[in-house]
Amino acid sequence: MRILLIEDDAQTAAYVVKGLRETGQGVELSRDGRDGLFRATHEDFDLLIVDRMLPGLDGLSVVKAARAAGVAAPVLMLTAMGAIEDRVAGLEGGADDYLVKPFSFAELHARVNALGRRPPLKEQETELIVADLALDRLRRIVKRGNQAIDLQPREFRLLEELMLNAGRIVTRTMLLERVWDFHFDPGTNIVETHISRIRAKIDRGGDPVLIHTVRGAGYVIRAA
Amino acid sequence: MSSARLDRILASTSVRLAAVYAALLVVAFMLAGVGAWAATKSAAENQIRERIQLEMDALQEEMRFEGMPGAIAAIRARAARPGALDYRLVDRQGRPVIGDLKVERPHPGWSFLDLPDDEGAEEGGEDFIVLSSETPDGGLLSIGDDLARAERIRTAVLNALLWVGGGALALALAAGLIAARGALRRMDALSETMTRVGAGELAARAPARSGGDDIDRIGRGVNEMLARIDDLVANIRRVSTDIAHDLRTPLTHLRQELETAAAGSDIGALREALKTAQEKVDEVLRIFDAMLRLSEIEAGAARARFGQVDLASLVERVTDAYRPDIEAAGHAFEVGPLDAAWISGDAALVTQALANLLENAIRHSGQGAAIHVRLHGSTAGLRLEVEDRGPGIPVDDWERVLQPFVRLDSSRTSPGAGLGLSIVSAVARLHGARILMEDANPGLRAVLAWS
Repeated sequence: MRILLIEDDAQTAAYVVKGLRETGQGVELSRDGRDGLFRATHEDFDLLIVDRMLPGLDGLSVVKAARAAGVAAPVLMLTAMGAIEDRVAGLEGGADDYLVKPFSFAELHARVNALGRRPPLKEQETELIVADLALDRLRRIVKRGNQAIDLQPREFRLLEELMLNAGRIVTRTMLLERVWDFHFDPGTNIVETHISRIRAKIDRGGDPVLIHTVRGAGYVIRAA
Repeated sequence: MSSARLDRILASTSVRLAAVYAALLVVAFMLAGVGAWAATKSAAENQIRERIQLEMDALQEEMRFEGMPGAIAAIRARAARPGALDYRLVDRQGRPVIGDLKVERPHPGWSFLDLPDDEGAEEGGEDFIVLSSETPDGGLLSIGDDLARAERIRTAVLNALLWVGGGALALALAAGLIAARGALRRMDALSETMTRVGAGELAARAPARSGGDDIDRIGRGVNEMLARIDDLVANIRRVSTDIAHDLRTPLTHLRQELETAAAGSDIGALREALKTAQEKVDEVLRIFDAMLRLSEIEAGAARARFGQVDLASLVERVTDAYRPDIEAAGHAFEVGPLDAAWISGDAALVTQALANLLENAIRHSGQGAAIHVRLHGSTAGLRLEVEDRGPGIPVDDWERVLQPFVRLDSSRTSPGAGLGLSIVSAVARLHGARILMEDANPGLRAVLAWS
């Protein structure tokens, strides 16, 4: 995957570039908004990571201009801590996801994977399947083998989010944002308790375990 | 009164006002003077004309009935009286018969006469007004009077006006000065208070008077403002001290961890120490995040993109999220009734506010205490209640716990920076709601109330 990182802070840039290269991604770095916009519109990238605050042209304007110029690559925006307005403005301006600084590399990696490898039509698929687990998004039915599984609405959304990203790590923060629309860090174990609830319903008896915990990163649903 | 003080008095608003009034007074007197002068002039002249006309009628009568000799005797007698008019009688050929009125070329009717010398000299050449009329024997009788008399009346009136006007003007200025001195003294006290506050003496207050005039009102306004500033400054001081205190603990631990890590040689222990250090840094960052979030909410930018929020389903979503945790902690958790209610607001912020209230209830209500969430909508307003049956908090602390970094002693040991309720309070203000603390008997009921 070819990624363009537009970030002026040298240390953050080095941290992100090093980390992503270690995971086997091709990363190009641009240090200011104008240069970043030029490269985003003249080269072909699979993903843009854009800092909200940039010299020359701010990140939000870069994203808007890139979208206006027809750049279709997914955009992950990096916003400053506490700047809750930036999240909304970024998403409205054409970003696909946002990440609040400071972030852990695991968090960034999970989001990069979720954005970069998202098959174009996955969002529209009506049936999600992982091994013998099937989730019907229209009829809101979940089956493991032939056994129907009864889930609460929020549990259904949680499983749906995991299955949309089957094989990829989904972090606790991503789940809080996407399943509960919580854009803050609750002081309690909401995600953990709900995960253990759906685990108890899905991974029962002698069936192979599907939902895995990745320590320090998040959760992943996969066949083996 | 020193000259500097006089300068300031002269520069004061009251004196300027007094001067403007005095100037208006002068203009009014001048207009009145001109009016009175003109009126007196014509009235006095008319009076003289009337007197001359009467005299003329009487003498004509005399001539007609007594003949010339009688008339001449009458003129002589009248001219000799003090304050008499002036006469001149000429015969048919124009020769003077009697009288000393120096009319050169008399002709019938009214005329004015300019006499440069003689008795009028002292007044600098007075005008005479003269009436001439033909006598039965073909001569001409002229009767005149000195207009100086009318002039004297006019001068007297004008003098009176000037004296009265000048006196009034002096009085007005004196009253203005006295009033200005009083006002200036009070304004001085006011500006001295502000200087003292400016110099850092935040407790200084303007002299309090219960009066209702403008200076009293300004004084009271200044005092209210100072009280508010005092509060704010005290708050800022307290908050910065609290921030320092709250950060000191995790930072101290962080330092200890790093020192231990640096001294050790076992790679496993080193990893462990670094991990703990990272957790401490995260704790510090969480405090910063909450602080930044609080100030961003208070700045009110979110108001620009308020939308319609379905409060009942928001409550359902948030309480559903917390239910497993709350029940796992051994609390009985009841939600409802939830009346249908829509508000104009920011769903993400209201979500956080409710989450903070629930987390507070879990954290502070103690083992097993029941927690109850309700949404009441009525014509009186909207109440979103989070009630716990824990020990509650003393009434005296209800206000205080809403302030940033305030943590009651009983909760000093639990995690959190004491910003949760401040954020709730800021979100409430942003949404035009109030946060109320109520006694749930036993326990605490925190309410977001829209009216």
